This record gives sequence, structure tokens and C-alpha cells, in this order.
Amino acid sequence: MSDLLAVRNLTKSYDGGSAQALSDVSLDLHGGKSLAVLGPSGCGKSTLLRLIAGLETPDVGEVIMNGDSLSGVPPHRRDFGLMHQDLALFPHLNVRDNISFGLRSQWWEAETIERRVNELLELMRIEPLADRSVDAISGGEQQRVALARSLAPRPRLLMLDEPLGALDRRLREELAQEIRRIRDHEGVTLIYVTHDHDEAFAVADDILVLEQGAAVQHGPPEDVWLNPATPFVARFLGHENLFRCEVSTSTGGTREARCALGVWQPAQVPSVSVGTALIPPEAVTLALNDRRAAEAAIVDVTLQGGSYNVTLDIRGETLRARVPVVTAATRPHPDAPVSVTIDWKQARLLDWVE
Amino acid sequence: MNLWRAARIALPLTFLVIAFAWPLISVTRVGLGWDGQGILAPFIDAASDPYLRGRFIFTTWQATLSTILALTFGLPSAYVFARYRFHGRSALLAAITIPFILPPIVMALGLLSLLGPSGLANDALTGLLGLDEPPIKLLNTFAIILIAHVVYEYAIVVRLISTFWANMDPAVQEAAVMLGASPRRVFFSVTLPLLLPAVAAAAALIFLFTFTSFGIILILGAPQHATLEVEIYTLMTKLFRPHIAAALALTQLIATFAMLWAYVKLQSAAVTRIRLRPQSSTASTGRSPADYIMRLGAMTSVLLVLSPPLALLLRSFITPDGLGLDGYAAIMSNDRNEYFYISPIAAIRNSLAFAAVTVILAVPLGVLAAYGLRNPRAWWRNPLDALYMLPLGVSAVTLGLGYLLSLRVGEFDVRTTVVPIILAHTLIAYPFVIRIVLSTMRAIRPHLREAAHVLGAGPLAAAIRVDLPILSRAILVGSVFAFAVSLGEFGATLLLNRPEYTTMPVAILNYLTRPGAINLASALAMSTVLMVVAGAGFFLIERARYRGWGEF
Repeated sequence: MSDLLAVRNLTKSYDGGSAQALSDVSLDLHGGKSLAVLGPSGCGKSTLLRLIAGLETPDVGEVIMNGDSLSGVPPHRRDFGLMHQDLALFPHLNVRDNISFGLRSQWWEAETIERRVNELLELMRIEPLADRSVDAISGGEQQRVALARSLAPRPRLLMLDEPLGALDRRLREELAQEIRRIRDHEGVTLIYVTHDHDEAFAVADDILVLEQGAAVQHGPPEDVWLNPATPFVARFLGHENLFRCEVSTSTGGTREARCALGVWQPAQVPSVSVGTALIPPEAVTLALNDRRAAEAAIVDVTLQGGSYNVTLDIRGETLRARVPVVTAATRPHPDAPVSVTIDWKQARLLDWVE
Repeated sequence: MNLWRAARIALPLTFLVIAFAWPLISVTRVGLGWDGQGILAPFIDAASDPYLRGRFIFTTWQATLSTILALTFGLPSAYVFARYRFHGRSALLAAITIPFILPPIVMALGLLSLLGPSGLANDALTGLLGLDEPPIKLLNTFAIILIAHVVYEYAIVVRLISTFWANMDPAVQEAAVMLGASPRRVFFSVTLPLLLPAVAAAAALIFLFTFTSFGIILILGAPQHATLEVEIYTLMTKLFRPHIAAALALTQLIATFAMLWAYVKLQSAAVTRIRLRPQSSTASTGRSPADYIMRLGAMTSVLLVLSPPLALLLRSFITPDGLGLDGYAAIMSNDRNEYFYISPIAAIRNSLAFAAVTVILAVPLGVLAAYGLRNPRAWWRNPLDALYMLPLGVSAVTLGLGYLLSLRVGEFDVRTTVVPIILAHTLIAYPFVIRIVLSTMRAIRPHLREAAHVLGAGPLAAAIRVDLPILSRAILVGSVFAFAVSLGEFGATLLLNRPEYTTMPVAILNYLTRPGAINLASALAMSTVLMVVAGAGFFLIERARYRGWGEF
């Protein structure tokens, strides 16, 4: 796996420059690794894929594979695979012929084609469907056929555009796991486009976050999660407890951060005088009868996935807490005054302010 | 029983029995020799005649060739109209349909004006090069027939296929590209197979039309280019051999019904196979040299197919001494010169009268029939719909022949009156009315009618007070269509013609069979009038076009 995909300064606008779809995006991807491109709809994710695929030509920038520029190489000679969001299965071909299409494009020998197709049918667990029409199978099965078809010619790079977008939640989780298994089995280099951060974290070695056509963060999932680079990334990942802090040096020489909810000593202090505190909702604990802690009111309570999401109001600031479920009797009640304790060790100081 | 409910099926069916089943059964009876000739005797006579066998082979051959040429010529344009967004796209799409809606005889005159011995092209060439005789000698050749057919059917190829192509999701082609398929392979193993039902449907329709080509052959071709349709006409009106004519008509019917059936099947297959996308999301404004060449090619094709009607318009104002209105003056005169039984202005009056009567009959019949087809769940709906469309598969001359062989009970004989001509025009026009009205009717939500019923309106009152206002536009369009169809009808009218009923198309043929510049000028002028009326009707239809109407 010595392949190296390098994307340099890709820029693309539509309608004569009036709509900038992608501006100055660069990235590196090593063979066998997976990159998730994450962002809301319309952020330029699909444009990035189409430029890498060669289906569209960038205004500026180039795609480089192992040191060779692919500018001017037509998409069908790039040896890349792309799975469309709506799958684009060939309606006039059955499952087997869909999967073997790419192999026949490359003039593989009949026996090799047969072997490869059977291997993929087995890998995807769709052997019984081989001779069915693609109109006659379920949505999840079509997804598998499309994935098998993209994988069949062993592309140097496989790009998946919102591959699980149209499926229901259960099927999505099942197929995400399947994609990981198949990625490891085939050792394929993967670019995975999604608007769902859970999906991105589940699949990728690296994450690239796009906002309005620009790359705003690029790094391992843990980094992106723990240190979102911009307010946009933080909100997009679902972080809610973000508080502006003043950073100063205390009399004892330690750096401390002061925000509306308290003063604390961050473990890592970026060299800024103002920043943002990110408090995980798990770091917030509630107590009904503790008079010494901060006074707060419960605004809203919802039960989600085994714990309560509690929205609190503390002196006009909104704070989210996640509280484990015990029994219905201990359910926090809206409007009840509570005391709040924040475990500041779990909080992080980010080097930007909104 | 509810009179209204019964009438909307019984009336159209009665009309079909008289105007369609009866003549067709008569043709079958005579053609099969059941009227005392001996079973299959006419068939055997026809088949054993090498000349008639030759006519059958030629008819099939010219239809096949015309179909292939029309597809070859039209497919690149279909692609351009499907996949590019450019200024004037919809106006051009409307413009290319003009040749298709013109009566064939007008198209024939258009080609005559462009490529004929004294056509514009020859005039220009002799003038420019100082030649003594016209360099283009296409009149009475096979080539000019093929040209006429291609120009005529170009609209079918472009409109049927581009609509389908435009809605095809380009992701499917992109998927093929990403699997390493070259542009060639993408076209041949993805695009073409997916287009195939639409291409085949267009081919079936073109074959159907060109197989029964009549006016174009009669005017532009030579005797050796007679199709079965022309031969039936000759056998019936000149040689008085109704049995052989009926046998040929039967042969032709089998072919046309097969094509009509194939067209319907393929058309529905084309619609169901692929995911459809709105054209706006699939079209591009491509700016590469290849894109420009493609669009330029399509523009050229459009110009080529529009050149015959334009040439006709221009040529009709050219006299031996420059520009003039000689032809128009001649057709507006009340003169019955030695050749004619009636004056040209009377022919125009006849045409308008037939067209008016056709509208009066075909529109109520079509609307009634559409009401009968409204309920999509009734088991008889599809068979009945197919039955109503069946007249489209019968050639005009066959229909005329059928009327000549029927429409008589004992002493009561209407064959020499205007009745058969009116029946023929109505029969040809009313399937279009049904299609136009039915598609609008399907768009009316049943709740509206239910609301009217709840408010106390009976079925008839609901129809008049709720449906009629909504349907009025479709009815107007259907009327214009029926009017235009009647004006241009040639084959059946020619067979059923009596001098005093002469219509404009028949008068045009009469002019052309006489020598002299003034007769040619009159033919051109009358064709131009016909073209302008048909064109105006078409313009109205396009303006009133209701969203959601299918193509054809």
C-alpha cells in the first residue's frame, strides 16, 4: 500500500463564478486509509468527490496520484470508484451483470470475472440475488449491489457519496459495520462523504470538515471531536455547552480561565487571552438538595438512549446535562430548582470565541 | 338506467361501429373473397402478380430505409435537445414540430418549392452559375421521397426520444464512467440500451407513417415508387378492381396494426424502466468545442427540416416576372376554368365546411368517450381505450376504400354524398380529442366532483358546472386539432371525392396534374394557405398547452 492521493488547492465555482462550490481544498490520503468528508448539505462534499473523480474539471488545483497529476486524465482512466448517493444501478442489467460491468470495461478474462463476481456476491452476502433484476430487490440489497459493483475492479480509490443516506436507522448501522468489514477485507482506500458525524467517526481514520466549500478542519476523529477548530465544527458535531472564557495568570503563576459558570484551571492552555470552554454534558451533575452549589432551574427534560438530556438555566446561561436514568421516580422535573456541579477536569479550553 | 352514463359509452361505440367496424369488415370480406370470389382468391391473385409483390417489397423497403435515416438524422438532435440548456430551446422544439403537423401534401409542395425543377435551389444555382438547365434533378426520384420522409418524421425522433433522454438520470452514465467505461462503451452498453424502448417506439411510429405514405409519393415520386397505399388508390379509382385493392389494404392493415401495437408496448416499457429526473437538473450549458459542434449540428438540422415549409412560403410569392401574388389571385377567383368543375374559392369553402362539421362531431364524441374512460379501475377501461385508438392504425386510403365498400343498405346508399368524407375526417380526428381531453380530465381531482354531488348536483349538472369550465381549454385545443386534421386530410378524401366536394388538398393535386405556370402558382398558393392555417392551429395548441400532456 504505497499509494498516495494528494489533492491540491481544488477550487470550483458554478454559473460563471457566482456560486463558489469549493475553495482551495487540499488533502493527503495514504493507501488503505479512510477519510470521511463531513459537512451539511450544500457544503461542497459532492463537488469534491466529482472533482477527484474527474467528472468535473476544477477551476484551480489538481489531483495527484503517486506523484502524477491527473489533470487531463478522463474519469474512466483514473481507476477510481464512485458510489452515487442514489446508487445509479443499471436498470437494464441484473445483479451479476451490474457487478461485472467494470470488469468487462477493463477486458478481464471471463473466468476471472466469474471468480471475482462470485467472491463479491459472497462477501456482500447476496449470492441468492445474483440473477435477479435490480428493480426486484430491497433498498438495502441494492446498496450492497452498488458497493460490490464499485469494489469489483479493485479501484485505487473508492469514493462513497452518502452511501447510507436513504436507509432507515437500523439498516444504516448494520451497513456501516458491513462497510468497515469489507474495507478491511479488501484493503481499499476510501473517501466517505456524509453529513452524519457518527457515521464519519465509525468509518474513518481521518476526518475533513467542509463549511461552505472550505476545509475548516482535517485530522483524526478524536482531535476533531475534542478540539473542534471553529464554532461551526463544534455546533455541527453537536457540542452545546460552549462558554466564552477570559484567560489570565493567577497570583500563583498558574493559568486560569474565567467564564460565567466559574473559574477553572485548564489542563492545556492555548496562548490566547480569550477562549471558549467546552463542557461535556456528562461532566455536569445535578443534586436536588445541595445548597452550596450553583442555583439553577430545569427548563426541559427528554429521555434519549438511556439517559436524560436536561436543559438547565443558570443565571441566564443555558447548560446541557446528561443524567443517567434510574427509576421514573427520580426523573428530574421541569421548573424544579436544582444545584449543579461541574467536573471542570473534563472541560476543555478552545482557542476561539464565537 | 342513467342515460348520461350509458350515452358516454354507447354513442362513441355506435359511431365506431358505423364509421370504423363496418367499412373494415367490408374490406376484410372483399379482401378475403367472402363475397363470392372464393376464399382467399383476391389474396392469391395479388400474391401471384409480380408487379404487386414488387409494390409490397418496395413499400417495406422505403419504410425501413426512411425509418433508419430519420433515426440517424434525428438522434444527435434529440441528444442536444435533451442534454443542453440554451436560449430558445423550447421555441426550437416547437418549431421542429411544424413540418410534422403539416399535411403531407403541403410538405410535398414544400420540397417541390425547394428542390423541384423550378424550386428555389435550382433557381439560385442556375442564376449563380449561369446554367442552361436546373442542376438538381431530384423530382420523381427515390431520394426526394426519402428526404421528404426524414424531414417529416424528424420531429417524432427528436420529441419522443429527447423527452425520455432528458429525464434520464445522468448518474447512471457517470457510474459507468467510474467503472472504467470509455465514452463509446457508456453509449453502447448503458445509454443506448436504456434509450432503446424509446428509440424502438419512435421507429415503430415512423415505420407506421412511412409504410402508408401517400401524398408525398403521389406528388414527388414516379410510378415505380408507388406504395401499397398508392396502389390501392389506383386499383380502386382507375382500374376498378376492388377485390385486389381490398386484399392489399388487408395486408397493409396487418402491418400497421402490428406497428401500432409495438409502439404502445414499447412506449409503456420506456416509461417504467428508469428513474426520472426533471430536465432542468440533467441539462448542461457545456462550453467545450465539442459542445458547440453538437449544438451547431442540431441547429443545422432544425434549419434543414424547416427549409421546405419556408421555401414553400417564399416560392408562392415568386412569379416569372419577379415577386407577385399571381397564385393567390388565381385561387381567390371564382373562375371555373376549363379543367375544373368548381372554382378554387369553392374548394376553400368546402374545406372550411368539412372542418367545421368535423369539429362539431369529433369534439362531443371525443369528450363523451373520454368520460367513459375516466374511471381507471374499470376492467373495460384499457380495452376500450385501445379500441378508440385503433383508427390511428388504419391508413386513410384503406378507410376511403372501406366506405366505398360499405355505407349502403339496400336502396339506401350514402356513398355519393358528403357523409363518407365527414365520417372519415371525424374518425381520424376524434382519437386526438380523446387523448387531449382525457389527460386534462385525469388531473381533475375526484373530490371536486364529489363536492358538487354533495351540494346537490346530479352527474350531468356536475359535468357541466364543474368539469366543463376546467376542461374548456382542452376542448378548445382538441377542436383546433380536429379542425387542422380535417383541413389536411388527403387520402380518404381523394378516394371519396366527387368534383363538387373538392377540398383544398384535392384541388392542389388537380393543379399539379395540369401544365402551366399559373397552375403551379395556384397549387403553391393554396398549399401556403393550408400551411398557415395548420401552423396557426398548432401555434394555438402550443400556447394553450397544458402541463403534463404526454408527447403524442
